[in-house]
Amino acid sequence: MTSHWGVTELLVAAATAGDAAAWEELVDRYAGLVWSVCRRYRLTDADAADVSQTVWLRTVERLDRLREAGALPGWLVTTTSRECLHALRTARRTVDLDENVRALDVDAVDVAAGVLAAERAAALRAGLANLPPQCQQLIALLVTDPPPSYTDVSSRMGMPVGSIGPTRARCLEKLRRSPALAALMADHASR
Amino acid sequence: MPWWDDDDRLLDEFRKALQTSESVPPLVAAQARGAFTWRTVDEELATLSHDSRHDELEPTGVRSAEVEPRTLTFEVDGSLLELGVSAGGVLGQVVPPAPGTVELRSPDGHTATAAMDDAGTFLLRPVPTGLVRLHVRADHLRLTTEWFRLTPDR
Repeated sequence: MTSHWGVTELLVAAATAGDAAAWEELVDRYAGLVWSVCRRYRLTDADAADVSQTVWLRTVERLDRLREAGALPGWLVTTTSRECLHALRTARRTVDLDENVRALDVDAVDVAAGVLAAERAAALRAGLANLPPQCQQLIALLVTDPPPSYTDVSSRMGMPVGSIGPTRARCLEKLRRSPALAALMADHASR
Repeated sequence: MPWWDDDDRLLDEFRKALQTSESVPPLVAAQARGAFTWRTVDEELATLSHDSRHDELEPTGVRSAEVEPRTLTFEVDGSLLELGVSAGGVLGQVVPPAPGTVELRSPDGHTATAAMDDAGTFLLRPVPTGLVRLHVRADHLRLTTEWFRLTPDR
């Protein structure tokens, strides 16, 4: 990890200075990461919601100490894991937790992968939001599961089948040039 | 070739990204965004240094004898806030002692206040459940505890 300032560090600095929009972008980036750690501990929905709220309230308290490059994602994972263990203890006080705790131990590789995935997902969502409406609709359609046929896409979009491929390529190219994705690529290049 | 240079892989990443965002329930995301309104500036944050609940378990995981009341200690810059939480209320003491007021707040807007006497002691009741924090105000002391959770049993 280098000491360069990426998007996350800039958002943390802005939120520390009182910028609510920067805070919301941080939440959009990392709410999925916090939630996925809760899921890994197999908490109930209610307990996971409690843990998530606790973690984000603690994050607000400590924003000024999380300015160091790269500090936030790791801190979120560590804090979420600790709060999940507390929630499990409170929920099942008489259960032999030792075995559960070992089995549910979140390893470092998982954490790093989770952080990368969260950053990537956030950049993609931000990039998508900046595309023209036609591109947003087309991409949203193309990534549905199972993938639709070009005939389906054609009728839903009111677009000739022959234009789908070129439009898709043009939209994805615009996406690569969006600030959010450009920042992500620069982040990766400097690591 | 990095994943973003390939159209198919880029779309695959999109599929994953949109699935991840959908998996966070809207209320959970809203609470996370709302946490920012609880930002405090120029407040001394007293951190939880001990919570009896966290050492109630023996190494075997079997719960040791019932500990009553639950005790918590918060510390900041040489000041100490000790709490004993039972069904009867939250009994607290600030060290070094000073008269003043203590306010309890929860993220849903619930508040409760109590006077702190010359010995720095106070009693907050009834005990709410859920996440709470305390704000202590005295002549030479203004401290805010980090958030902690009170459960129905205490």
